[in-house]
Amino acid sequence: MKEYFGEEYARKHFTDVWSEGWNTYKNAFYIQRPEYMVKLSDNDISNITGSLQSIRLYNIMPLMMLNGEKVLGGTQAFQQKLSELYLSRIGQPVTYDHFLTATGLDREVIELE
Amino acid sequence: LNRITVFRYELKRLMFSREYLLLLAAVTAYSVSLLRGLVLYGVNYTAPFSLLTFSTYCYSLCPFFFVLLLVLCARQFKTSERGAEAIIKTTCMPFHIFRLVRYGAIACAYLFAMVFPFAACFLFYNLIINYTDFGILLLPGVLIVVPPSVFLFGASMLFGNRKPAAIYIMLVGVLVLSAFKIPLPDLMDIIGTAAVQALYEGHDHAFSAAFIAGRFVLMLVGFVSMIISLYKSKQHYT
Repeated sequence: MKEYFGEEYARKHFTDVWSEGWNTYKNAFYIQRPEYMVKLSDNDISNITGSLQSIRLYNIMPLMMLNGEKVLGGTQAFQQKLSELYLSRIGQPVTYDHFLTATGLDREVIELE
Repeated sequence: LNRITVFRYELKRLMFSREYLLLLAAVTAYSVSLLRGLVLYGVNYTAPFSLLTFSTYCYSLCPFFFVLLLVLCARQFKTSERGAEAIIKTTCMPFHIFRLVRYGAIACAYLFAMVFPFAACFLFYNLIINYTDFGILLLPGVLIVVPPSVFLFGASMLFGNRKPAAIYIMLVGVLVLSAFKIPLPDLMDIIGTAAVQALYEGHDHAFSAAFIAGRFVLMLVGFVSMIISLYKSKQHYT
């Protein structure tokens, strides 16, 4: 997106949105006070964790990827590692551990604070 | 004629009317569905007892409350009720006192319908979330619901006395405003759309000064309209 539409566009429509999602997740009531979920039914807990999971997948994970990109030295280097991972596991499922092994990144390094 | 007897009779007529019972059931069912589907999860990932969640709950119930109120007011101007005015005026009770008693009965029936969802919400907080500090939430709830109710009550009594169709026009107006979530300026934000939208966007953590001032204006206009309608009764019988 940065290459197609410029840095400003990418920041406004992606990075800022992800950061906002991360802030929402950090401040979410049931993340800060999980003890309140004890009295809820399994269905309600599932709905709450499901909505939080979508923030984890679509906002937090991209920010973690950005962190990984910075650690590896830029977009090109990161995409090279991803390309290698894709080719090595073509047609097979790719887990988070596969990703960490292929890129040589540590969980702690890319996780958000 | 004993005023309390008339009041009881009018209240009983209202509360056991088909329209009232149907709308009360609708309000209750909707409030339960809101508690299960909105309040429990918290609006925008806030707590179920946050100002945003509780305001959204009240705001969502507003159209139901207002429709109930306008239907109760419209009942007063039915042809049969108008026909009865001639008989009522022959009694020893002054007609404006009779009207005041009727207003009281409508207000009581409406308050009962309004308290029901509030009580359900507070009970829900107590049982599910163990939250009992309702005092903080009561004022925003009252600010959202009560002033526009007073305004609509006063306006419908004033205009309904002249033209009963005016109440149905107001009813359509309320439905359109709420269905399309049309934001009005803070000063005349009857449904509370703009206030809740501002809370949702996180611009403020409380209602704006213009919104609160608007609530006072709505209350004032409502009370003045009520008083005028008490004394300005149009003759509908000859």
